Amino acid sequence: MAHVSARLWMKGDAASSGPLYGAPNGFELGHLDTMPPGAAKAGATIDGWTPIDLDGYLAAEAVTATLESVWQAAESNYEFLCAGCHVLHAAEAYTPAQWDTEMTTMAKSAHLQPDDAMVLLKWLQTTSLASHQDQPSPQQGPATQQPSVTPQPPAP
Amino acid sequence: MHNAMMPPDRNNPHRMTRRGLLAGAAALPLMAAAAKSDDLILPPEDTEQVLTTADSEGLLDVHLRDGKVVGVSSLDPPANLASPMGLAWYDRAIASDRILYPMIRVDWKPGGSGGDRTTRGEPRYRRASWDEALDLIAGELKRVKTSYGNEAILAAVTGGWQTAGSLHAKMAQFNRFFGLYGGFTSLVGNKSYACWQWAAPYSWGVQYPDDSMADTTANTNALIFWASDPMDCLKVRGPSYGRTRDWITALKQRGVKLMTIDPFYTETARISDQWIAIRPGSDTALMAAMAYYLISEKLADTAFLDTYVVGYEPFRQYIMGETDGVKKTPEWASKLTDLSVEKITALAQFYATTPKVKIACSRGIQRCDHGEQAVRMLITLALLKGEMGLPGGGLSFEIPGFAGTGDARLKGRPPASFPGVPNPVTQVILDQHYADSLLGAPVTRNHNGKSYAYPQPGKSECKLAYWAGGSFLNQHDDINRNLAAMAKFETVIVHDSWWTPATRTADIVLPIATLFERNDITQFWRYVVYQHKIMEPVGESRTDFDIFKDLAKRVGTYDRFAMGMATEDAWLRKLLSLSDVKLSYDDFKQAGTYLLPVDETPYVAFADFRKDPKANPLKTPSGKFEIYSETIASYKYADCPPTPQWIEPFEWLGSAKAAQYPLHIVNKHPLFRRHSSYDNVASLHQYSKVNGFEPIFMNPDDAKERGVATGDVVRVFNDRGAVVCGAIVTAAVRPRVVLLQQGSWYAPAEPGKIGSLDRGGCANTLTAQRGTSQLAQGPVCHDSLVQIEKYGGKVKPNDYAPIIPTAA
Repeated sequence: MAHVSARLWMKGDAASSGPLYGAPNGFELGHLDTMPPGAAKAGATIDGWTPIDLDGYLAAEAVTATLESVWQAAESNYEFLCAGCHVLHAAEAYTPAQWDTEMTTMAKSAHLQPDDAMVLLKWLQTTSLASHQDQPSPQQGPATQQPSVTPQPPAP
Repeated sequence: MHNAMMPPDRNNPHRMTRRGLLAGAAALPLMAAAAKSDDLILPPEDTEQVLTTADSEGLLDVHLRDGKVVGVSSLDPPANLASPMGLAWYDRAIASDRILYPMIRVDWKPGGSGGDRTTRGEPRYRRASWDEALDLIAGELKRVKTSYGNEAILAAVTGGWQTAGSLHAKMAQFNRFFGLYGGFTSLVGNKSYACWQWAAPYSWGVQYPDDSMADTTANTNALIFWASDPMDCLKVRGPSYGRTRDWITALKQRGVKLMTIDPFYTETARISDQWIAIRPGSDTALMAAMAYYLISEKLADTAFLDTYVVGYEPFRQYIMGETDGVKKTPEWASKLTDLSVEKITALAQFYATTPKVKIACSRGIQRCDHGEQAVRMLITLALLKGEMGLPGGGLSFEIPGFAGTGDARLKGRPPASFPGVPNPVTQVILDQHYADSLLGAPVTRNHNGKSYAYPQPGKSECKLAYWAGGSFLNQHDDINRNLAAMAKFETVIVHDSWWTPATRTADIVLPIATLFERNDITQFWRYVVYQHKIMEPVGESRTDFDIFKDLAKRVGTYDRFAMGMATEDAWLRKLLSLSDVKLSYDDFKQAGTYLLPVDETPYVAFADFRKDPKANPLKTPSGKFEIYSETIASYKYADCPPTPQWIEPFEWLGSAKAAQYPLHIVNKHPLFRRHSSYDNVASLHQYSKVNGFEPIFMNPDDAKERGVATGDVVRVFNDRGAVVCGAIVTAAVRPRVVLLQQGSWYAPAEPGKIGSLDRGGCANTLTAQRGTSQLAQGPVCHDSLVQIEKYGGKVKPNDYAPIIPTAA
């Protein structure tokens, strides 16, 4: 098992459940089904964002030393899962927000499995970011921890 | 096996016994020979071997004896009926217009001049060896890349429609070859659902949400099919059609009221309780009048609007005439829709007061000028109703499931595809401004908040066009403009299996092996299917994979292209291994099919948001439904307001142009083609053609006015072009509206002449090439006016004759 600590953010006041972001105005990284006791800091809301500190354990194989291997797997997924139906757009062709919308539709059409779609979306958004600095300013991943999901990519 | 150098024996192994289209015209109102697939199957009695395959039209069993095809039947009927097209696949494979060898246009010259570009379209080609053709192509690619950069290569293919398969998917092959070669100028656009893709997200945060057939069956009291005809359109996909038929049967058994709003008495209208024959192009006005009724009668769900919606007030002001002085009353809409005030009011009242009424919409209403408004107005109407997110209610895009909505969700990975490489070139041409961009460069146009310059500063215009699959010329609006634009290209290269209209204008033509001539694997709903090679390639046909491998060797990208796997077998094993098929490759090949697990749990679109909007915000800037969009407002597009509005189309029965061209032509999906595919299959013509001509359906009043009877050859024309068709007179189309199904092959009476009479009856000879607005830039192919006259000249229908080499 791997010990994981991460500061994530919830839009508005802390709710019992809801989407979690890597930073204020940042990427949506996942969904919190149940708020752990003490995770939300009372009165800590900044500019409409509440920090959520999560602390726990993940299976060791669910954690990688760097993001690089995750992104490589995502890129490979993009090439193997998406090229059969349309031109492979450069990640920069869409903004991070547009990729979010596109992925909602494309994941259905291509029958992407939820984990594959989530990691692929984060890679596309992150890669897109450099060319869209005028967009809201998401950070590249959570402050203290890479995505806590094990990608299972079809590595070539 | 068949003679490898000649098209095989064309004896149809599965005789179709139904009456032809003309003979059946009196029996059924619109689509005369609405064939049931099971009518088309003759069980082969002399089968020795059965091999599976599949295409977009269904899952097929191919029956063989002595290595020859003796029949094609639907795999596992009746739940997975193949369409009539699927069952005609063998006829397609052995069609007389197969391209047999690499061919080079006699008047073309390499090196930049293009030879005589004005004779493109004239059927003068010479046969070439594969080595000569590939050397010429590689030479041209290198020349253009070196002289102008990769931006000078305009390249496009269509997606899975052309080639169901994982390895031989043209798109994937193409993406990898050209991605590794440095990229290409691409076309940006969506001929299918542009306004759902690029306008709907501003309203509800997604292009279209999931919806559930099971929830609809269990909870919906009334279903309004608004420009949606699943009973007809889904016949191109066997399993979808079977599920559709069963689903509608279940709805009717439960007593669900069905209504259809459509200019045509469609197959779905036939099984509906009410048909509302709206004037084309006026749907948004009808929606606005329904919204007026809900607001003025205080039936709009204000509690829902207050909690879940932003931007309602500007819309209310527009509907009530506070911004433009025009109340959007049923009386106002009546003049636009040509529906009576009583009918509009009754529809609005029914919609407002019936609990759990769902609107099922599709793509037709947004392939029109200002299609963005239709999409966003329909979403807004459903918001006023207030049932979004509740069981049985709301707005559904394309239920029961053509695009994946409404279908059970796969729990498992289907096979991966041959891997593509992202296109490094960022120069694009907006699809709906293709000809104008080529002919009018430099130009800059807007699309969804971005500006696109063609050419980009410091970059080249396109010099070489490369089409690998997809009958681009035929399927792109305004064929005569597109023919004129071809003069800009020094070289045009096409991969195809048949002498399609696009192929007949190319400089270098490469013959491609069809589905029946190679092995592959594919996924069709929950089925993973092994696509067996049925026969040897016709003529000298080769696969795109083999061609691109040889081209990659010539341009120096082979190692990266092939990734160490040079054979079809190696790649298929690789691609299957990346799926969740729990069989070995050899066992799967032997079995032919594998069923992936599915999740069939009923679900309701936006239910989570409705339950807890804070925890489950929508992907809009506000996290709520947005009627007024600040983002759209920020674009400052004069042709796309931030609040949905009725905007008069550029061309419709209400415009001045109707005095000259008084009939509105709409291009519905064809019953016996998949877009343009299968138009050349002779065994389908007894159902799909009228004495060999593409049918045009017209109202008895319009026919009488012109002295036209069923079976007559008529000339259909406007200021963009002229086609000849075979008339079918039927009350199943409303007066002053005519139906010409899209996809029939352009066949100029004078090959090579721009503006020639089109004896193939191609709808795009008549359609306009322009965008819906600067937002979505979708097609406007349903907004065309025409005139029709009985044709007195001599003309033969398209005979799909192959081009014979004219010189050595």
